[in-house]
Amino acid sequence: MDPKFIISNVLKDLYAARFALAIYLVMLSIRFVFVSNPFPAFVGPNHFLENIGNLGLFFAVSTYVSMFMLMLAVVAGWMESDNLNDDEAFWVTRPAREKHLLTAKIASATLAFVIAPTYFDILTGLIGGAGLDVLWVIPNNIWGYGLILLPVLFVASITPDVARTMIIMVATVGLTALWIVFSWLLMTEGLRLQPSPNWEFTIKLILAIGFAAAFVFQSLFRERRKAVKIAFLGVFFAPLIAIPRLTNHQDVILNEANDLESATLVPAQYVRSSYRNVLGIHRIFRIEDSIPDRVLVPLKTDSVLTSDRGGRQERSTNWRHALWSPAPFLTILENSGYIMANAPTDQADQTFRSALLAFNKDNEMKAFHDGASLTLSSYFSEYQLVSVKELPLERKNKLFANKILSVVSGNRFYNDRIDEGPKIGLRRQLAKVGVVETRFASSFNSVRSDVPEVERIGNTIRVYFLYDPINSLMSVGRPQFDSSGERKFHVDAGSPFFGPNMKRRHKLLTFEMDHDENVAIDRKRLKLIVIDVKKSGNRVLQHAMELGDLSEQISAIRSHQLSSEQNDRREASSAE
Amino acid sequence: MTKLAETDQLAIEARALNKRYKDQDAVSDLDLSINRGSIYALLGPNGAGKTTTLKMLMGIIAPTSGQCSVLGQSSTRMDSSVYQKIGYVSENQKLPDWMTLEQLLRFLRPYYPNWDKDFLNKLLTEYDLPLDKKLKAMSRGMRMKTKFLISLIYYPDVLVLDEPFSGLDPVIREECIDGLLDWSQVGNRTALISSHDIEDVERLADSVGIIEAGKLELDEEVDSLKERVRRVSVVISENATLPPSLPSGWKNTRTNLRNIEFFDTHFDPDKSEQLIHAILPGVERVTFEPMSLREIYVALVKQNKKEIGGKYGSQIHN
Repeated sequence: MDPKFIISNVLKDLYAARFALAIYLVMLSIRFVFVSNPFPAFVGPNHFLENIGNLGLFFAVSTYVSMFMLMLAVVAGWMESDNLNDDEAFWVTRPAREKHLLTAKIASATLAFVIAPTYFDILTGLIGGAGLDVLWVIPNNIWGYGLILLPVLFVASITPDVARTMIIMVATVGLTALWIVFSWLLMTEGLRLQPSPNWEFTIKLILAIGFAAAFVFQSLFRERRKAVKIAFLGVFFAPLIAIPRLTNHQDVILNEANDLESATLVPAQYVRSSYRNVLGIHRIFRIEDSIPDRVLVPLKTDSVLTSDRGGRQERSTNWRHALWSPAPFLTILENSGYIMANAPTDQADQTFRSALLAFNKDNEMKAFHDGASLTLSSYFSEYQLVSVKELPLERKNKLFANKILSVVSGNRFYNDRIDEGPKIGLRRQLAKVGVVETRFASSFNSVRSDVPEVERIGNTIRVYFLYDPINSLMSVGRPQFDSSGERKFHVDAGSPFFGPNMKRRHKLLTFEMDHDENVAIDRKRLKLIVIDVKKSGNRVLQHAMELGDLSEQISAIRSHQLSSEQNDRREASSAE
Repeated sequence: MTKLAETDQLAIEARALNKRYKDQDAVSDLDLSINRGSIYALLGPNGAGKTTTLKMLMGIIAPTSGQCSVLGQSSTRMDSSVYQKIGYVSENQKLPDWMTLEQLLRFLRPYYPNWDKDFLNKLLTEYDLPLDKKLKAMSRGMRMKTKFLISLIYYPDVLVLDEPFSGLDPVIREECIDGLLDWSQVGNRTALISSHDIEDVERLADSVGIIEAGKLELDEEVDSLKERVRRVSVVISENATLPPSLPSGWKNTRTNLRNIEFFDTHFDPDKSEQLIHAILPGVERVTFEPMSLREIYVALVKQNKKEIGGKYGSQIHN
């Protein structure tokens, strides 16, 4: 290797693309500001984007697309300027050899399109209080950006000019997007491509290795034979078709995905959602394994905020209930860094919603049952589901639920921003109250104290939430016991996970209530569900998750629980 | 497998070199030896395989079979150290257009240990090139002069030029040739020039090869070639008849009444006239004229076309 040449070439490339790179850096900075804004007055990128609605969405998507196009043009320009492919290229008879040029090109692309965004991501994470976890952006970004850069480098190395590289890349991305969209729209649910993280990883890994090998081969040996190019393409696309058939990735197809063992554990971490996205939740390289003392069980995060966003409700509801995000739209959002607080990829929220959906006997959200099943097993595979209780709605509980709804739908925050009218009524009618109890292994020893919906009692964590199947409205109450032993709840319409900047709002909207308030509610629809989850290695009590006979299973669990309680009592009395 | 000779004498060598594209041989069994210090002109009509040969020698494209080397290094495995001693100028070669000449020179400088600043300044003055102008804004002539400049200033041991003078005006052509001559004065320099501009090449080359349809039909020193080829005009008596066959060294024979013209490719000042008198009847007068390289080239190529029917000679249009 000749470092002098490589550095010189990189500097030359950066200088040649200085204007485009300047624009790219401006875009990165804009994204950084939106994602990580730390100022209280500016409630954060997610809220800003949500509030400006479609314009924000358009801005997010168009920024991302522009950044991609810029990257494409710059990398293609670099490749073509020293044209490794062309036998009339300037460098082919110069002392610079292919491996040096190849290294220089990869170095230029890495510097501009991996290191620069990673730097901003690290800043974002640090501002978000992620600490050393922020380092997880490095492998994720190398992986993520590498997957974008490698095809560009390869295509640029086999095409004679920038224009053709651009056309091929844009056409490929466009056709892939169309394929995904049409497969989503036209295919029946069972046939939709819903790649599991495992499957996605396998495919991406094969593609990455394939593109890297092809690019290196192409660049070093300047292979230009058409047959070889076609063979390359074959090598890339064959796995896409073959892998689902050749391997055990059954969960690629939804209606075959009831096997809970195939589910993947994707726990959540209590970091502000946009940072979590940057850091690696929902990415290939995750952060959770390295932080054993954190709360990794997927508890609800900042759902109220999202729920209170009126116009965005249906959209986020739909997204959430998809087991994995419907590409390509969400993928763009996700990669752009403009993930909304409690956004579709907020899998923690999704977990509980889906869990509740799965146990919704009225089947109001039947379409999502499969997804719910999978999701629940995905998140809870680390924990054993010990009991699922559907409690009879006593007056107190009903009042509690309804009051929470009243507060949430009637709070100032809500009224200030959205006038949803009739939906409030509807929401109230369909409200459900859920409680999740999760017992953890002894190694699990901390719950963030600023998570009001989580109550820790000994080795058990109890989470309370209110559920609205139509709009995914969730609210939170942490029980408190006053001097007389009466239990009271806080309702938080702000985000417990949105960081210190949200404190003002948090206080403003905190509502305290007790059980004695009397508010009318529809008895038939309101249910209280309690799910107890207990960690048990990596196994999950499967029978509790089966969808076919939910009520049966629930009854079975209830009787099991009942008998356990009776046994306990018996043991206790005999001990006495 | 034909092996390359292991000798320091040869700057460029090719043995049984072949390049096949689909069903067509671009270069066929080409053998070539160019001594160090020699300036070799590779001539041939369009599509004869000159550029392909040069590209194989330079390691730009791989031969289908056979071997070739430059400065003793196989062309298929050339490393940076060899390219530091080779200059390559091609009519179609691309330049980093976004750079100014100054940027390009600064960028190239570290890679050539023999970079000669004085020679650079001399050439810059001779070529009258603007340092601050972007290459893409330069005229065709200026770009070609730039290519010469950046290939000469490190005093390459071997210079390979592919149609270097094509489409250049006479002044720029002269300037480029002057630069070449300056370069060739220092040390034992070798050049391989492929060109149609035979007059220019004739001034430079000491050896010549003629390639046609991928085959090297002639490989000889220019002086020797010019010495052995003569245009012959013979006047014979009125009643004389030509014999049915003529010596193979007489090319492109044309008759007009009593006049016979041909090119004698085996001219011998002592024997050729005797041979003519022995073969042709009633010879009244014989004239031998020396030929320029261009005339020899045209004569040989035309004769060859006549013999093999040309590249597309087998096609008959009804």
